[in-house]
Amino acid sequence: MPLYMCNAVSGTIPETAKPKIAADITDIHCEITGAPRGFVHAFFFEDAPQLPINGKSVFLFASLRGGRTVEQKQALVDRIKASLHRRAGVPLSEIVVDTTDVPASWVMEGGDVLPEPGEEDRWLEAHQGAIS
Amino acid sequence: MIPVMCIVQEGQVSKAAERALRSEIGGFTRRAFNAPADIDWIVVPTGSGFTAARPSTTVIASLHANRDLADKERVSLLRQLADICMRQTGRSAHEVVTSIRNPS
Repeated sequence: MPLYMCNAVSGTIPETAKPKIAADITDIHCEITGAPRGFVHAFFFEDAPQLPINGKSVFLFASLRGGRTVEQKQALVDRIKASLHRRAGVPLSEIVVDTTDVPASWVMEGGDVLPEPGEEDRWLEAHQGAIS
Repeated sequence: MIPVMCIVQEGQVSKAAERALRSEIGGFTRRAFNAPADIDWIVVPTGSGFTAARPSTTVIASLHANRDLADKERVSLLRQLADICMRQTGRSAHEVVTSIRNPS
């Protein structure tokens, strides 16, 4: 967590752009929230029924640990949309990004419940070497 | 029914392992929530999954409980679900993410 799930109309996002967008998402998320890179998952799909695109070209759904501010979430949305536009040439008007908050205590990774935002140091210490 | 989302990377889980994982998750939701699992099995295509901006080997199992859970019970259930995923997929604890949400 976070989990970014990006669904696009088939052919909208070139294969070569996916690793670049994933790197952007990881950089953006970590810069804005201070989260460890190893927590950031970015998965791409095409025409996946679970993530309705609703007539647009790209729908990106982000599950975030609860506790992020409105400003942080807006910055995430704006910068990730810009990455999709820059890397894949998708018009900004064709990109929809939505976020949902999930309490950290509802998620387990590495055999332990995730830390609350800002309390990652002790968690990372206990998982040294396994999470970047 | 307990809605469960399982996300795996393409080529990571054999058909036999998928059947076993589905079966074990079904048993888990019956024990924990007295309800069968409604599993949405999602495969991330090759070259489309990234963790820490590198090719991902992560397995995610996420479900919605049918009742509110106290922290202690949730942690126990999260661990049980993670153990099932690790056993059936052969992935390590750091490659398995589990989530159990309260009813929305």
